[in-house]
Amino acid sequence: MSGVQRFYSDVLMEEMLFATHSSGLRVYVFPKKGFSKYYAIYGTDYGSTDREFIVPGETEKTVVPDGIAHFLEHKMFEQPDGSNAFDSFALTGASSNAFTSFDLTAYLFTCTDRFYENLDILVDFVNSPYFTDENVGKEMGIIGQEIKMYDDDPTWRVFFNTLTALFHNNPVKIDIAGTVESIAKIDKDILYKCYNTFYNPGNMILVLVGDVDIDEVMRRLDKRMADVKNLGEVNRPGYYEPSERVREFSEQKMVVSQPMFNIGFKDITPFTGGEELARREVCTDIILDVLFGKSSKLYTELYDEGLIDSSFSAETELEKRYGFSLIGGESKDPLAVYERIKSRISQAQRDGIDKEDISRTKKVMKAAAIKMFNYIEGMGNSYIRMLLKGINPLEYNKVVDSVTYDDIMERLGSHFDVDNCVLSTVMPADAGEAV
Amino acid sequence: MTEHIKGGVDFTYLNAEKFKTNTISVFFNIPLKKETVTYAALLPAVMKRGTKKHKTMNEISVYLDELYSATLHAGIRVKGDGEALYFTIEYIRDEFIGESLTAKIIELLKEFVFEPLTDGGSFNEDYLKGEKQNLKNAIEGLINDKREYVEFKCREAMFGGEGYGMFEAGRVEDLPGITGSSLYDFYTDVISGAKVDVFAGGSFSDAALDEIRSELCGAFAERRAEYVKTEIASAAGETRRITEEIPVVQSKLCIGLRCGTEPSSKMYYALILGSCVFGGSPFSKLFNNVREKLSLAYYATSRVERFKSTMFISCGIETDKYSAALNEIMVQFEKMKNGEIEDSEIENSKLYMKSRFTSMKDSLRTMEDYYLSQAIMNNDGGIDELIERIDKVTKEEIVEAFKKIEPDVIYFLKGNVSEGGGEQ
Repeated sequence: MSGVQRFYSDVLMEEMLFATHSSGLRVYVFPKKGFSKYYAIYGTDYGSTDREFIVPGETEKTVVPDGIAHFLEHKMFEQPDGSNAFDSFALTGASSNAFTSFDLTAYLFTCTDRFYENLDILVDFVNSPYFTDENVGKEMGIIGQEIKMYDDDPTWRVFFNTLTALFHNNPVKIDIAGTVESIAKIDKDILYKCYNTFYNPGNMILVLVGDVDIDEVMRRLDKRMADVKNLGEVNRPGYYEPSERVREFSEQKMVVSQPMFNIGFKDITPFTGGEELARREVCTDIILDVLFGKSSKLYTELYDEGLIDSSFSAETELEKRYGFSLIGGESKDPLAVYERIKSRISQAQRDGIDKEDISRTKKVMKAAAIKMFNYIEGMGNSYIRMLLKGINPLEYNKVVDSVTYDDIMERLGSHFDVDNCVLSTVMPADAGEAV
Repeated sequence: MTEHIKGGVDFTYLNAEKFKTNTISVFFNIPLKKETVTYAALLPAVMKRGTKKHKTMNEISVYLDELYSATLHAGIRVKGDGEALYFTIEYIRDEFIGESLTAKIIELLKEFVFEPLTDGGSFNEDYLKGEKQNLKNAIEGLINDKREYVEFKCREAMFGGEGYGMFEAGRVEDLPGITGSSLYDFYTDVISGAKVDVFAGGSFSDAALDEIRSELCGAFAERRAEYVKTEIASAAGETRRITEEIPVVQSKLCIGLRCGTEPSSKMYYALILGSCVFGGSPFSKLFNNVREKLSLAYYATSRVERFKSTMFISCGIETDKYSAALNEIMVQFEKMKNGEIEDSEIENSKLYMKSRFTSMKDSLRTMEDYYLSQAIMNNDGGIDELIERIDKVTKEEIVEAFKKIEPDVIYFLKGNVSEGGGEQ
């Protein structure tokens, strides 16, 4: 079939196929021969941070209640005939699920048999919303319990308290599921409004991993996407985000055995995508690994002094419309760790970074990119994010090779501002004094 | 697949060409006992800290990076009333890096197992002290995840803190008494006396396999050692209700049940298929009724632990919905026992489990764990046989398996905070 682009990596011995369906839907296939499993993930460029947007055809901005993208995800499983999508997948043996993040809502299944049948079910259920007053009301109780489960989760709380300390206006600071109060404002009309805006093929992406024939996929889509309207890109008005943090310290008391902490750095560079974003990400990952990774001097020092344990880790999340880096774990003295981290950064900014450490870290990163091809679901979950950002997963190691010492030092200076970072902690509560 | 190398030492090769990596693992099978549970949890952590050749964590980590980011995992896995202490290294296959690492990996595994950093007959005191503190944190950290916490407390209440009823991370009260030399004595007992299994997963040349047999398996002394037998849980007697109050927003309910089914018997397959119908899928009775129909919970599940033959039913609820949730769970449980099960529920669950089990072939670690468990149970059936046996289960067998199940402990972790958290 024409229109299919092939990408092949000799080093990885892996292939990626890409085609845009006539509906506007972008389709990617990673053929994995020899594996038993297939994975399909169907996502929309829409998440908890999309709280303000302009509905296609309207001129006024629409503002929606917090947690609606996640609520919508729950409700998509409900079918017009009163069944739910799980019942349809039950007939084929597939396992289905969905998730909502800051900027992605995705529906997925894994199976070992009857792949194309399952793909039909997936595409059909995501393309057919069915919201009623009754089924919306019923979901309040279930999501209410999900919200409460997260309220009791210290790792989740320490994470969100970091974001609220970093960001003034960026909606990334709002809890993905919203609150019991915010979801109470959701009704079927507003769900349809969000659905009609964001669940259109021009704003969506389908990533398939396994022994899949892309021509057959396109033929199936021809039948199932015939009536779906492509509204193109969604207009998302911007907002002003000061470059300063909101506050340096946050603390919450919870039932935990020892303090947990997150140290956060806010990304203040202009939003971007594609290779530029990939380079920024690679530079940030290299810095975090060289300074704080398991092979770093500081890691060993802090570990030997009993200030951190193996839960200590550092990561960055740089997306199209938000970005931050986090260093976290458990510690008897988070403040001491915070000071040591800051002084290590200042030292590196002043004296530079060991070039041998950089090349070792690059080797590790490239190995991780190779290992990813072992994991069918991991590939889908990781690549859908990369592709939405305009990054080709097969090219990632070339980006790793291409970043220079100067790129890394520039990023170290601009992103890791020790006068603008935050420390969020969850401290052990005495009996009866939690939250 | 499994070869007997010498007394107490076996080697299993799981051949699969599709992966980018290979794994080589060593397992030491020992009983899960009060006297040694803390030692077993502590030992791999201390051994990971340094070897005679790579004395610090930093040296180890840098060396692993040089081996194209090979990863070392060491720890314990519970196998009923026994546990397996393990060391695993995963590394990239030659084809992707143009260099063969297998010999170096074997060397490194041997270094961890046979040459930990010691002062004569004693482990390094600094490392011991640090890992004792980390283990203490890990044991006390059980409370951090409330779902895991309530499921363990339920298990402990059922088995009275013996064998399978113990927390595998050990007991804080044992830590002060453990010294560098007492840990070393334990180490010597394990290395020379435990039943050893070596696994290789991925794609190896014949020469590489021979090297694993002679260099790695061959390095262990012959021994008279057997796997730990687990006594299955049956006949609960009176159901006990336990309530523990803690300051959290969401209450958690866990019901522990005794199943009384031998893990390699025909009825075992009926039990796990039944558990899938009952609470093991998003179309199960618990999901459809406790969650979808009554909106009582976000998760409501059941799972079976094979070795001990136990079932745990678990959900997170509003504190005042305790009776409503418990009642509905028991209504659905009675339906299972009375055979109020549609044919479609059984057929769909069979397909669901078939897909799950087939997927096990896509993960080296999952396969390794499955075949180790099979070996411990003296069962030589592979994954395909497992799928076949599930397929043959009848409704009558599910009912028979469920009629033997008795609720033992109903553990309620009662939240006493009314509103969601926030910063202070």
